[in-house]
Amino acid sequence: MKILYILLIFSLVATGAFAQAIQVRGTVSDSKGASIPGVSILVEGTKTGTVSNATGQYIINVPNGNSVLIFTSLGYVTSKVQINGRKDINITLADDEATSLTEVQVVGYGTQKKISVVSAISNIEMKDLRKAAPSNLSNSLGGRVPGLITRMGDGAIGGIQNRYQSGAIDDAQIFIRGKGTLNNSAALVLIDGVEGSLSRLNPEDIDQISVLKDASATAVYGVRGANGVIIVTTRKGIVGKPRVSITTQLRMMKPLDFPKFLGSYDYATLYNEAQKNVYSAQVAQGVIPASTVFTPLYSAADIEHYRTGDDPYGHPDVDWAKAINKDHYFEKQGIGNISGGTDKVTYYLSGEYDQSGGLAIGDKTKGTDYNAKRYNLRSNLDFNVTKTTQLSVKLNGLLNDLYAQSTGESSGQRVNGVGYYFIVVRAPNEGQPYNPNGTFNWGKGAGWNGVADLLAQNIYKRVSNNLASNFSLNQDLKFITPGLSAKLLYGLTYGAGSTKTLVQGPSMYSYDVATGIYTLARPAVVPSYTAVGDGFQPFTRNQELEVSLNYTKTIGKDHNITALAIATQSTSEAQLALPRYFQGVAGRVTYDYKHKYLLEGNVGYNGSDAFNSAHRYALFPAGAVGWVISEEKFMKNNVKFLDFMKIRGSFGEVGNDRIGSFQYLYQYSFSVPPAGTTSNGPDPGNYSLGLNGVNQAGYREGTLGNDQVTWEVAKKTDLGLEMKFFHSRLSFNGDVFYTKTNNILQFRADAPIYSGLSSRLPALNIGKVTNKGIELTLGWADHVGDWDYSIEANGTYAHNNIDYRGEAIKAYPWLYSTGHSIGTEALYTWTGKFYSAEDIANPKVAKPAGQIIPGDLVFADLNGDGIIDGNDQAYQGYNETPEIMYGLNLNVGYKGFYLSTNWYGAAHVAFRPSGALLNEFAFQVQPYQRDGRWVYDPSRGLDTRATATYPALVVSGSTSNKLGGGASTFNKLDASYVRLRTAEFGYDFPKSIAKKLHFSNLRIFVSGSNLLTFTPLKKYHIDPEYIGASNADGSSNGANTGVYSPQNKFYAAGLNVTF
Amino acid sequence: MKKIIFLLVFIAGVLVFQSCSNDKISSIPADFATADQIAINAANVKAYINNLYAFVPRGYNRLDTDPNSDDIATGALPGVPGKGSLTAMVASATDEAVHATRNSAAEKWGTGNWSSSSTNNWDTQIKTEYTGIRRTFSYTEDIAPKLPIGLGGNEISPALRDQYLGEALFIRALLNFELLKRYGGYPIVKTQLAADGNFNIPRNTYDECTKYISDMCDQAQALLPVVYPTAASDFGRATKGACMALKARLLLYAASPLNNPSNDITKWQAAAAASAAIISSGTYSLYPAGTAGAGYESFFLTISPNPELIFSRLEPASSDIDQMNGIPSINLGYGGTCPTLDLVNDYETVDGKPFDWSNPAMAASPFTNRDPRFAKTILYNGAVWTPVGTPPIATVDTYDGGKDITNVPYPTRTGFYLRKFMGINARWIAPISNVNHSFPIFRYAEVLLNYAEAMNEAYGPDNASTFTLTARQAIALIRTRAGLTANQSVTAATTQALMRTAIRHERRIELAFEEHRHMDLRRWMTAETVLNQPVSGLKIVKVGSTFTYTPQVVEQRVFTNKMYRYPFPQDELSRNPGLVQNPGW
Repeated sequence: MKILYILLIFSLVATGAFAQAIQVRGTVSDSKGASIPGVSILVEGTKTGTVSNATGQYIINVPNGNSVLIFTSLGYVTSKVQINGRKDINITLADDEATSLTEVQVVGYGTQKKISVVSAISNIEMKDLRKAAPSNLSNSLGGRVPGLITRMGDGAIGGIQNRYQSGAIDDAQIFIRGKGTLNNSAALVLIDGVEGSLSRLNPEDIDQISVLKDASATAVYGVRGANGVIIVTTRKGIVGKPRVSITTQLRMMKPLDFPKFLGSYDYATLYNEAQKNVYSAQVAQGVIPASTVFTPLYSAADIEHYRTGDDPYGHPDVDWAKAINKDHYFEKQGIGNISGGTDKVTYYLSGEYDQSGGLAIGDKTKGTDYNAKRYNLRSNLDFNVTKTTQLSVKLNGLLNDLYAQSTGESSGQRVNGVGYYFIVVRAPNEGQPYNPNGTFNWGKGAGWNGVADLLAQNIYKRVSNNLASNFSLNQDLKFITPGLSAKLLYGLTYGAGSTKTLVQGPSMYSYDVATGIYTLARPAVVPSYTAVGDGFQPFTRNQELEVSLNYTKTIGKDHNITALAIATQSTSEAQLALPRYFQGVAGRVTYDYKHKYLLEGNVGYNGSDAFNSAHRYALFPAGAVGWVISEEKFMKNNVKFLDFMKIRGSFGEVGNDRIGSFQYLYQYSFSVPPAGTTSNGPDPGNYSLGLNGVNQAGYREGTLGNDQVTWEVAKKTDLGLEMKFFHSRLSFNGDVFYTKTNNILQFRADAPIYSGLSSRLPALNIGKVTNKGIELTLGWADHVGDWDYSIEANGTYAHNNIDYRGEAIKAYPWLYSTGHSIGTEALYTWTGKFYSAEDIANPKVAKPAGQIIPGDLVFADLNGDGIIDGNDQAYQGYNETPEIMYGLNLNVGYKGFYLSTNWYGAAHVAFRPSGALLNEFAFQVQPYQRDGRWVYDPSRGLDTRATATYPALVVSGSTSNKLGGGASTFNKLDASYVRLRTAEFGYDFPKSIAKKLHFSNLRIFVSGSNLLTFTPLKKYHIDPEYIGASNADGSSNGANTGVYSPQNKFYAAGLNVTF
Repeated sequence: MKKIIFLLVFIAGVLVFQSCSNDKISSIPADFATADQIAINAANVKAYINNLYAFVPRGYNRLDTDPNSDDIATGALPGVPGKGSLTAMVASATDEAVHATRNSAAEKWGTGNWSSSSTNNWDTQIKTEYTGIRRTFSYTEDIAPKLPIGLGGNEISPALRDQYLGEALFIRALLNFELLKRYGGYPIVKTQLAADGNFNIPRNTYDECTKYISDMCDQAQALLPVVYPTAASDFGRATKGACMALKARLLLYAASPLNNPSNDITKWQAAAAASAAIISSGTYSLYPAGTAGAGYESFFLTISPNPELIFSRLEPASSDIDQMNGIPSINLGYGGTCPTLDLVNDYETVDGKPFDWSNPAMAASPFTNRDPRFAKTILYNGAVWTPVGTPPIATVDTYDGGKDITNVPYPTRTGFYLRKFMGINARWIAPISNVNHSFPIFRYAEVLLNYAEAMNEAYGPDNASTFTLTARQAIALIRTRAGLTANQSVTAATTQALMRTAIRHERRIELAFEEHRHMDLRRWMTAETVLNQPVSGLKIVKVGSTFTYTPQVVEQRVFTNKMYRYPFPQDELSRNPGLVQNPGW
């Protein structure tokens, strides 16, 4: 810290210490003779500078006649001029065409000149992405570029997962241009050409992230390309002296909004009220005789104890979320890298250490704390073996150590007791966590103690190692013909690990307040580790092999041709999943005339072992055309403000094979019938034979095979427009897309029950989905004097529609999900009223079966049969995948100071509470339920019948609010939001000062992530991006239970040095 | 140099592709079992046959309000993982009981809140039944023809082959009967339907279905053993007797008023003959009587071969049933099934007289001197019942203020709890102690009752025809075993009609909570009366050491004519235009 302070003083001295000498003036103009305003003019080696005015004129003071002026402006080649004593210097800046011509763009299996790209590809600006990057990078992509629809992941540290999830639960869901299929919609992520995951990458290691969106960009990936592709390229060394960069930062993590529950006084009062609600209704409806005496669970004395809090052990009041969570915790990150090289070899070596404490409290008595640690090591080496041969070796080792609380699994699947998730929703009066002497309290009744539970048998200790290695050999074949080269790539990613559960249990004592005596109620369980089976072991092995030929040729001066032919093969293996094989060939030909007329053809011919041999290979073609209008003379000469304009269009087919393997096989499965299966299911429950009363295992017919199963095919059309104005200060990109996906695997729902097939029916390629939308980006970047600023806004709208999915014939048109977006739910339509006692007595008012009490929700009787039932559930509303997503990047810089912010938001998205969030007293009640509830109790002077926004409370049971699991328009909430994701304020010290400290660069910064959120969900205390514990592929249904680890915001301070 | 490197790159590439190309991408993983693989392995064949027993109907608390919910969502039973759904017994939808927790599936069913919507029919087993039927066909069609028949180590002996086929046929017949009793004539499926096959099968008539199932029982019976020599592993498998008992019940149902509107006497005769075949086989007898009612009680708790048991659904050992119907003063007992006062009133006194509240002596001490089956079936106020739970209890106290009804989470609504089936050694909180359970599907007492009913209708109360027993004698066997001290032969039942009433009464008492009542009331066509009136419980007040008893209505019941048959699920009608819905739905 001291050093920083000194540095700051130095910097002030330096900026103040300049003298006046010679005054130089002049005009800056472009090659066509027009003046250029806003050109930055800097005296080399100093901080002195100015900017040309609206007519391109400038005045600047220079120290002496030998000074050098540097002219910089976006869209022009930077020019250095030695003044040689002159006082008038007019200068012409050349257009920055040369750079734009040499700029390259990452495309599938290679790179292309940016100007000739005709596919829809967006690049994520890494320098922005690195700012306040969360430890799971996947959570920071939404809103960065158009075309990405994302939802943040769970906040559990280290991405802890349970057995039923494939990915880490802190992974964001990422859909390129929304969802286009009823099956897996997740994008393919390739890291240096090998399938991988974004979650644990070191952001500093990434050179570029490109998002490939249309068919032309992804056709080369064939059956893997339909959902779009995200290509991550890691950094390379640059020839030169070793360059070391070190960044350290400390983050204070705080949970984002998380369900809040009421205290015991409110809880008990409302519990009695809820009981009374049901009782009164039952008396009124003659279900129970009027003579039945109402006995509230909590007596007046109980309520008084809760109100005064004078009996903390007999009448506890515990906020379990608070009791098991800290207010904040810290995450430390250190990243170092060194890069450099000679003409023989370049290197980029890096290391990252990231340590995060957990939100949940650790064992106070032992001083242990939960934490997740990550060690990330990378070595990227490039060798020039001969003048024409390059060998590239990329190695990335990743060690993850996790020591964290179990998040819990849903019932029936639970293996490890009560996890974190299920403690936060506990009732406040179940017992105290601690006794006055600091020991664990035995609680009331059955000995529930959330804190002790958390520390008891629910701790995961997981270690995992991942190694990603990537070898590629590039051989220039100009001795055969100039422009020809060949490449061989082999990538291997390997992961292994082990998870153990710590089974222990602290001693618990019951405490008698009157006598002060502690009695050992449960002796401590001696800690022991149990290995956790199967799905918890992250064993994976993916291999990728590519052989390719590349050809580049310019015929004459104006005809540019490139060609690519590639053969690929990949295998992926994992612990329990069956291995998957994939192979194919792909090719691409591009042609352009004077970088003006662009043509591209792509083809992928792939095979995937997911399918029967007769349906294993497919051809996926795509083509694209482009026209750089700004290169035309009539534009060049007449439209001065326009620098660049390209129109492009593409059409093609891409496939999706991630629809479950081996569906073509007719299977039998061996199983012990799962415990707890209900009698109504097709595989009813456990059975026993013999005298021992044990579960029997058995073989049974599995899913029927369908040898016709094949990939899904997405036909994609894309039209794009790219423009740059005013010397590239203003830029505009727009795309319109239309995707029609056919062959979507769906289960025929129209096979009758008597076929005996029920869930065993094979899937057929019958589904059809249309996905269409637009993407826009508008950017402006400029500098005024010493001020640099840029603003970029992007937006995506993607709307999908299920055209066909083989639904069973339904009695009413609103019962079909066909014609709605994927994930749309069938909801009862709330009419904005509550049932009154009169309504309930009135047979003409439609009601659901079962007990209805006054204050329940009134629903529209769509079919008019007088009963509210499944026939009145209409598909409607938005779902949990946003249709609109937008982002805004704002950057301002002034003399080394900078402020960089990233905003993003989503709209046309909905959230539906379920479980503990929907059901009051299961086990808790939320403030909005108390505040808005319908209650009519003249004896207590309560009457909110006119103003209620929430139904009458009930303790349990199927009131109309819970009908269909709460699937009603009442519960479908608008989950749109705007969020300030990152803000970073920093200072780059002047080079002169950095140099004195033997640094070439020195930067200090403070930053924050998820700092502000604006959402209508505020009163529910739910984060709008919350996806619960659903799968990484997005298979949640939008109904969320509130049992999750809150996501985080953080405040960070850090330092970056380069030398 | 360059050329060499290029060559190396190229050769390496080609080699690698060559070596691992088509053999991998065209392979079928070994992890999948096919019908062939199962058929050649004796253990696998057995495992396939065993799995068919999963489809044998379950009893106990099997009605679920929401089969798809987990406990955190319904929140019905706070703090108890996996027990959240309000599972109730079928009995609680009849005049036998009500369910302690409100809004159970049984309550909805009993109060007329059910419909053809697949989520609103609380006892729809159609999916299970047809799935099970298909499994029997995939055995007989795919696996059975490929069995390695022989006497070698991994071969299947001809006797075992016959037994397996018999088991598959019996289960197929049983599942078909489960459909028939619910829906009346249903679409008979006689093979494995292909996924893309003809899905338009019309309903068969009741009589066609009866014939189909009856023939199948005969076929299976011929293949199955009378008993299995190794009970340790084979107890619970279908036997000759199981097929005969199924046929007897099938034919009784077919002869009953609902399914035999013209009262065709030959149907009653056929039913009587089917029951008589079991009686005359000599294989079965009533579980021996010891002290009054002891044989009756121990039959339900003896999970091993016993002379009365013909076929049952064996459950893995657990204390779930005991907990779900457990007295709530025992930690985490859920009250569950609360027998009605209506049922209690139907138990005679021990000397075979009707119980009568207007008789002051009976009303003063209503629970003593009753048919011994009463105390073995129902827990009443003052009953002595000492299961192993905590805290230990000595008597059941369901009077106002009593520990088993006041300040407990799931108090009885009728003043009674269930005793039948409850294991006294079951304990569901640590240290857990599980007990074996077997839900009787067929037992000899039912065969005798079936016989008596069919004989009385076919030949009158005292005509044995060509068989060994008259209707009256068959009933007497049951009443003697029950421990009634007098009137075992129901002397007051002098006419066929009076005998009919007596037999129906005996059935209600003997088979209480065994899932007969809801079907019996339907086939007798008395449900529109019996199930269409309120059911009652007792309010018990203790003053000093005396109790006063006040009957009170606890649940309204609704039964309309359409409910004699279950509705086919609405979705099913949409999928199969040839399917005609039952009337009124």
